[in-house]
Amino acid sequence: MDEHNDLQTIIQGCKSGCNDSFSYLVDMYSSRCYRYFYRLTGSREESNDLLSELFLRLVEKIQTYRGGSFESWLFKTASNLFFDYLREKQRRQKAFDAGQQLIEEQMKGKSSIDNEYADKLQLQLDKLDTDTRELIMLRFYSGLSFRELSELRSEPIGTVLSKVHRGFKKLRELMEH
Amino acid sequence: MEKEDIKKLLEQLMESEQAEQTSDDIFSGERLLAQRPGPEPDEAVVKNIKRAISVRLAAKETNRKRFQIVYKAAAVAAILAIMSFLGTFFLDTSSPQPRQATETIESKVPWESEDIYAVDNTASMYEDEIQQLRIEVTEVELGEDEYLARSELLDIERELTAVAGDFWER
Repeated sequence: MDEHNDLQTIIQGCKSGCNDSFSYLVDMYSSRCYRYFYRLTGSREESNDLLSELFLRLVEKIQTYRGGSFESWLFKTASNLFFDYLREKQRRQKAFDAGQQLIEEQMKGKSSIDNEYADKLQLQLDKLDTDTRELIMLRFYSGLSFRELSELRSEPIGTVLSKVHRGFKKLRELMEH
Repeated sequence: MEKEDIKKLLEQLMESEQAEQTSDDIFSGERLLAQRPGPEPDEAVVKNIKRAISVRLAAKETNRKRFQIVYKAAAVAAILAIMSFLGTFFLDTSSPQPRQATETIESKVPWESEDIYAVDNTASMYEDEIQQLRIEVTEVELGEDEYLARSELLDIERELTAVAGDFWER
């Protein structure tokens, strides 16, 4: 039985509500998904929350997986979860009308990054715009092809290639300084 | 292999030389990330996720069973309701109950026409009297004394009037 069939067997087990199958799925993908969230949020605590939420969403949504690339389906769910989290964070910030400017200034100071664990890459990634950063992380941690990324984001393949290229170029420049 | 594919994709969008440069930029960027893959999740976090999934699955299974029970109960109730409905309209062959209006008529009040014998007696009595008067009228008409005859005729007329009055009063 090859890796693809193994994964399909595990997914079928998950669809049947098998606890062990979900455990396998967590073991297979928790590392990649956690790193994806960490590179986007810069926070271990928030990444832990997002990772937990992702797998609990999978429990509810696994029946909607109808074949095709499981990585594509999984990381689309992860991507939607991240943007939901981002919107919620922005909504909370707006709730503090009086202190909004102060919060923005604090955000510019990268207060959300865990300084204890942050590497140089993390600090430079935070200087990229959210959309480009998310696309680069999606490409790297999901292992999807540019065609699959194009379908997942509903964007032309040329746009996806251009965004990734510009993002990597800027990141390399930032890392060299 | 992957590099070849990206280069081919890029060549559809730009010059070959530029495509080569762009694909190199992308791969060097990916190498940069590969050298710093980022932290692993804590084991405790992964264990908690697995435990949370286990709880969620158990809750889903419980809900599923509850739904099945409710669904079956609803199906049985629906079948019973349908059978009851059909029984009311198709299986009940007994005659309908008498209408309330017929019961409101007082059965103790005698209908006048029901006492046939009393009516017959009265009628025969009047017939006898009328017959007697006819005979007397005939005798008067054949009588010798004109005065006597006239007074008797008046008496008979009075009697006839009285009989008629009694008849209609009854």
